[in-house]
Amino acid sequence: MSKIVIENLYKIYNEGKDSEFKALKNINLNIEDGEIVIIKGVSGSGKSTLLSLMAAFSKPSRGRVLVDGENISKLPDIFASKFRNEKVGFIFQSFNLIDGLSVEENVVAPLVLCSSSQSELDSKLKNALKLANIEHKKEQNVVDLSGGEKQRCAIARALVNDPSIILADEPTANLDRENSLKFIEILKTFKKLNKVVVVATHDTIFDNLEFIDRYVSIANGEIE
Amino acid sequence: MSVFLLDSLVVFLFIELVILILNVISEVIVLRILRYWDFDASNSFQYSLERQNYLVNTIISFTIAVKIILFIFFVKSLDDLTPLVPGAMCATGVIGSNIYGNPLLLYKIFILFLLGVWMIINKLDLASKKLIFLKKKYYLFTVIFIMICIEFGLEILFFTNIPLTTPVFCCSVVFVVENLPFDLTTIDIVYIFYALFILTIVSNYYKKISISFILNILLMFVAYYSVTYYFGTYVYEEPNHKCPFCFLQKDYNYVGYFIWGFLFVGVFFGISPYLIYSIIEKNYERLLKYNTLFLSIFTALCSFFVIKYYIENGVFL
Repeated sequence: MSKIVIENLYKIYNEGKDSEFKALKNINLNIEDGEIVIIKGVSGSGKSTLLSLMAAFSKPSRGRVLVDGENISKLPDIFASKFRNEKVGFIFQSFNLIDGLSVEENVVAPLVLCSSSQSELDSKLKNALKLANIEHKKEQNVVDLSGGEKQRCAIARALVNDPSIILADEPTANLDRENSLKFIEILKTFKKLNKVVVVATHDTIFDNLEFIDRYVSIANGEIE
Repeated sequence: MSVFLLDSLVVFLFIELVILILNVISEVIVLRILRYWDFDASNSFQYSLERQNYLVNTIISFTIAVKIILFIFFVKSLDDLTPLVPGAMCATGVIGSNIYGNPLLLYKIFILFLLGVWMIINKLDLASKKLIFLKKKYYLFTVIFIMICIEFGLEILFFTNIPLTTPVFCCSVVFVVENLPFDLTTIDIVYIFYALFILTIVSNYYKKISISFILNILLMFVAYYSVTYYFGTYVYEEPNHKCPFCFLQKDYNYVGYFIWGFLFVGVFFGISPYLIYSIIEKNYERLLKYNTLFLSIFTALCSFFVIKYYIENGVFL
């Protein structure tokens, strides 16, 4: 059974109105366990919309997304949050860190919702900081970090719950080349950890990487 | 002169009208959901119904919050109307001034109980991944919706039929004769009240939801008579002042709101488990502990005034 199954997926804004916009049209995609998939497309092609549906951030207009056989498009809000908390790590283009909090406070934030013991919490935090290579900055306020460090902090936060799926939306858009290459190194670590990784990007730095399992091109809301 | 010159009444009816309009919108959506809902479908119509389901839940939850506040506001409005109604000294005179008043008050309490049950079923529904109680909760809402429409009609009939020139009877006349059921005396009623209270606590302890349901219904009526004819006299510290409304006034530190509030909330938690089981066949007996809590506070509060009077004066009234 595939880890993620996307069937006949549509996302239509203002459906039935003059301003109707089809962000996604009849998307069908299967992603296997441990697979790293790069979704390529220009700005506005529907990459981010697809990612948000895979994370159950929003609901489709038609079709469905199954994760481990469960239809996540139908989950009531409370279960969608639980699903994200347990199974998904999301890396945002603009990092979405909480200014004013330190690196470790930001990273530990998703764990607040779990009933983990303090020792378990400390162990998960330490592991995530180490994997994202941001351990040395753990006490620093995130506003004082560079772009690359903020990105690594966001990666640590995405990893802290040990999710089986990592979704990254334009992860290198705000990074220079050096930090983008570091992100690619982190992707290799994800591969070793057998995580499902889906990266939505238009950055050519992801082209022709040998460890990437699949490239999917999307244009005007359709897979090419 | 018209009762509608009273600001609070105009505001009350306006809010009731807004709530009614919101409920009409909800009911239209609810009927569509009841007809076409298919949770397993992944088409755009079903997704649209699911979004509308959340909208309706929000509207009904808002309705419940407003209805609770409006109920207190309604009782307060009855008091506010007393200067306009000849002979009325408290809400008793106003509510008994026409045939609609007392049924309206009971009807409002009944609707609040049903809305409370709806709220609990809604909570259970949203806690299930497949919204398994959705249709049942909306059938219940449809019944409540019809009742809310009738309630609005009753409110208009009640307020427009309050006589402003003909004197009405107030509590000093209405409750002067002990109008107790089955020719019981006041002290019989008080004994029955305490006996029912203890039986309810025991029934709750053994989680007998159907027995608790019956005991709570009985207790509510017996408590009404006990408070009006016995405990109330200790609040007023006058043996002949028997009224279920006067202690809602400032002179008695609004203690009536607490007395009736604890009783109604307690009874609600006592009857809900059985109603919920009857509707969705789910055992939700843990509400009975709230029944025990609120009824205990109610009983303690009522008994407090008797004990306080006895300690201060060395005699009972």
